[in-house]
Amino acid sequence: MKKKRMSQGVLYVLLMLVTAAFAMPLVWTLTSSLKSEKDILHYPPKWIPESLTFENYAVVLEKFSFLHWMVNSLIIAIISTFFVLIFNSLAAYALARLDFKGRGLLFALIVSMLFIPIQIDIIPLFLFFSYIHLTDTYWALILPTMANVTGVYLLRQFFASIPKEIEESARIDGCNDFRIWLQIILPLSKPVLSAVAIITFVSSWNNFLWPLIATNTDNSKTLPVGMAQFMSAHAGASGSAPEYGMTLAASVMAILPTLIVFFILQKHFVRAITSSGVKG
Amino acid sequence: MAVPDVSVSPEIKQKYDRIYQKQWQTALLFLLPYLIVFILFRLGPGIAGLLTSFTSWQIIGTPEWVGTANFEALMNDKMFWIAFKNTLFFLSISAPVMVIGALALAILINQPLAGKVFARTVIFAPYVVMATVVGIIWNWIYDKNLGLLNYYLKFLGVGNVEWLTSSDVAMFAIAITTVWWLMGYNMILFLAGLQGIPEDLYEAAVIDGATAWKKFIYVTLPLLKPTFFLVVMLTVINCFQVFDQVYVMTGGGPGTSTLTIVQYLYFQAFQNFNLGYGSAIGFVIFIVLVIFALIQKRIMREEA
Amino acid sequence: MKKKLVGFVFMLVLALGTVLAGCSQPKESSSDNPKQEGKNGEKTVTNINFWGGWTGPDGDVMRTLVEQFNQENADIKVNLETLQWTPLFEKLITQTKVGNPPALMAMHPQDIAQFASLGVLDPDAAKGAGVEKDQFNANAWDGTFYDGKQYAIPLDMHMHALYLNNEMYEKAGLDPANPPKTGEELIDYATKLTIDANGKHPNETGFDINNVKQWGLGMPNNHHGFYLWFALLNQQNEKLLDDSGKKTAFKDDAGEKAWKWLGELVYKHHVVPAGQKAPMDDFKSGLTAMVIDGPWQLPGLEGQDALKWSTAAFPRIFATDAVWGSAHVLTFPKVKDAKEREAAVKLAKWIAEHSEAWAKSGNIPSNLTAQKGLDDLPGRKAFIEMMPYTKVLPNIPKTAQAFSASSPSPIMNASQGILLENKDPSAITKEMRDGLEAIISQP
Repeated sequence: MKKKRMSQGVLYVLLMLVTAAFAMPLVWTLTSSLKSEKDILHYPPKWIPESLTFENYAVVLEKFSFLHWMVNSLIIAIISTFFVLIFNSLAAYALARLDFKGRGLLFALIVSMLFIPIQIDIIPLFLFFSYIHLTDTYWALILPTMANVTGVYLLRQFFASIPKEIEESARIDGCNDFRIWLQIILPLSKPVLSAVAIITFVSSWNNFLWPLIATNTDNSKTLPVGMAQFMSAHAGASGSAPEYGMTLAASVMAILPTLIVFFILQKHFVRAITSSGVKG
Repeated sequence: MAVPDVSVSPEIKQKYDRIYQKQWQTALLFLLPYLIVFILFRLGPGIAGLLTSFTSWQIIGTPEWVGTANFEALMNDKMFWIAFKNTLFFLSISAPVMVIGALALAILINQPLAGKVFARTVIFAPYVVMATVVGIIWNWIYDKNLGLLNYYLKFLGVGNVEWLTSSDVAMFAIAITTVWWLMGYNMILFLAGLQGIPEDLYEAAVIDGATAWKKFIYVTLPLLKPTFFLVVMLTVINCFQVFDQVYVMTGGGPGTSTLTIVQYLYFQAFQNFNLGYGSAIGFVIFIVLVIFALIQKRIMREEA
Repeated sequence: MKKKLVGFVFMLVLALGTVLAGCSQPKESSSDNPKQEGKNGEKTVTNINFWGGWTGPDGDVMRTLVEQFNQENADIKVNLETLQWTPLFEKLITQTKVGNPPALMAMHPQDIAQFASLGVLDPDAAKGAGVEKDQFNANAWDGTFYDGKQYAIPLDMHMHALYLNNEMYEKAGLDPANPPKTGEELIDYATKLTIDANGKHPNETGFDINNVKQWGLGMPNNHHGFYLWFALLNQQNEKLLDDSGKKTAFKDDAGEKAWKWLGELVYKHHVVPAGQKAPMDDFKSGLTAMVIDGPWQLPGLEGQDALKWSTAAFPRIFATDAVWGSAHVLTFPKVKDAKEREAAVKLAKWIAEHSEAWAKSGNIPSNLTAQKGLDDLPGRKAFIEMMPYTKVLPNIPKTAQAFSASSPSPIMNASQGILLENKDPSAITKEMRDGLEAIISQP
């Protein structure tokens, strides 16, 4: 027992260390966003600002349509995530639990799209959207996200691992596949659905290259594209002196919504299935 | 899963055929909504992108078919091979940490420890940070003279490390940032996978007198294998296509020491506006990853 | 059971229908269309887009200017977009492809060739602006031409200069009003300003290079390191490329000499810290006493009340005065609507005339009248003085590839080989020449 407590203690310390290491860069982001521009690069590093200022936040909100971009990002991320969860889990159900000719090939084709770097399909995609007159709309940002591949990949894997026996009694009761999907598979898959939801939300939220090409006006601009107006951290310094304060304040505001979403969804990472259902 | 054994009477065979056909119809219904968006917005542009590699196209103007000329030029392109080698090196130093570290963290966080919700949130949090901000934060941390890292290393007696300005160290620095940035992603995949392991298997193991370590070896690991392979695949895809963190931290330097394949692709397609050539680089990335996927599939089958 | 299946299909169709129907809605509300006719047809407002790569304090200055223009001109509404240059150019190309480029686009003189040869820029617009050569600095004016045609209106120039920390100068017994003018003086001053923990200088025995408290000089080691070399090459009256732009023109020993001199600052004289990532940050935090950087740093320095600083001209290391510089010029992408072009020309001319206010961004206006009013802004004088001998990079279609700021880049490779890795100057010079020629000799 004593030994167990000790190993628990070691694990605990380990976890705390890793957490601290991961937190440090973010703590710096937060505290620096509350410093004036000239104090941000103070050496030696100061963790607690001498005088707190919300000026950086005020400037970002005042000068730019930050809230407008944020609303755009939220709408796009929420709609995208919603459709990804439905479309991907339907497709994953078919790919994992239904038998049909060419299933393996179709799955391979879908997953193989992950192997193509986004940079090379962005121009054809843009020309396509321009052709159907949908550039600079929400749909230009939502539709490509709906064609999410990672979600199908993850969900199929998880659905396939659910024992077949679980649906058998339901089938005997006359349930069709749709009800099995809705009432048996989905409830059992809360952890992976939450994971897919978070991943989709974040990637929609942070996506830069495609929204940069596909949007032109504040009507559809998302946060990363909007923020690029005053962000310059790229290594190939382009002659503009960076303004760290505004960028950091904007990022803190941009990080918060995603962290809240994560916080809400993460309770599903605790064991949702208490039993495999095979027992009885 | 597989097609049932049909070496029985024609009657039964017919019945199975009917079920099979019905499954096919149901499958189509389930797949249809996804397939529509997939074909229009992913497969179509993807194939168009791959085909672009057989053209000379400056985005402005129309693409001109040049056959395999881009690929021939690519094979003799010194920069491409440097980028290829650098990318493999990056993959080899970052992917193992990202997979095994994430697995360890997921298992640790899956324990009933106080404060695990906090730890989980903190470790996942970097994943939501935008690339540019990752650049600002880590450029500062790694700064040789004013950076956080060297400041604290000094107390440990380590001299000034040139994290981003030495060609020997820069790729390691980028790998560390990558682990910080993206490991939370792998961790939640493992966490989701861990929740799929039926509790009663652990209970049975406990009844059999298994220690925590034995439970891990005999229950957790084997059942986590599908998730493990999936995480490996996604990590390899991500690492092989590494771009953002390099772009914001070193721009591929010093010299060409951190130039990666996708950065070279980006440079050719969007700075040099040579989309055909850039797409050819993309095609090579596609082929390499297909080969990797086939190898992994073979290993998985042998394991099974 | 069948009913349920039908219901399921129905739901899906509904969902998909909502998506596709919704698609057409936001389009109508988007102000993508640059032109909005007035209700009664009396007064029309021309909407134009104006893009520039100003993502720092310079962007704020330009936003203020554009606001003022919008107020003064009720018939034109300008929308300014700022973004890093690389993604901005990416957008310029894609938007041009679909017929929707900005009406006014800022770039550097060396970018003109690439976009002119791609057919993006309108060569006739600048002529109609009615700006005259004698209103502008000659170097800046020349930078608006490519292939004999004027593509742009000059806005500003920005070049390297020396920033000094006044207090450190005084402590070392030097006078900030009397900055180094030659290479020897620069090394001498920098040596005096480099101090280790025991108060020793690099030219004294026992100097501890691993424990330096204050460095004499900071300088960039990315593509700007090449710009330093470019200045030193011009100081030897050598040209980088020949007139065709297809071949390098400089002598080997001149190139080597320049690289050697730069490398020795770090590795022989020990007055520049090796492996700097952000030289201006080091200067601001009091680690270095001098730094070579551009005028875009001026607004940031003006906000540093604790730091007493001044600027000085880039020293003459070799035979003649020369310094690297670049410029911002205003170009006219080909727009379909003549009204848009007219508005863009009006805006460009207005900005050039009001470029005195643009000087707040640090950049030095190319307009001669605007230059006169800058004396009360700190630090500008040294930059204005360098205007006549500022050398800009040659304007060639392969600029993006030859002079790339990120890898693969022959110039960054050379700069970092010398300044970060202490490689042999003659090998580096040869490697850089080969790298450049492989790119520029292509058709």
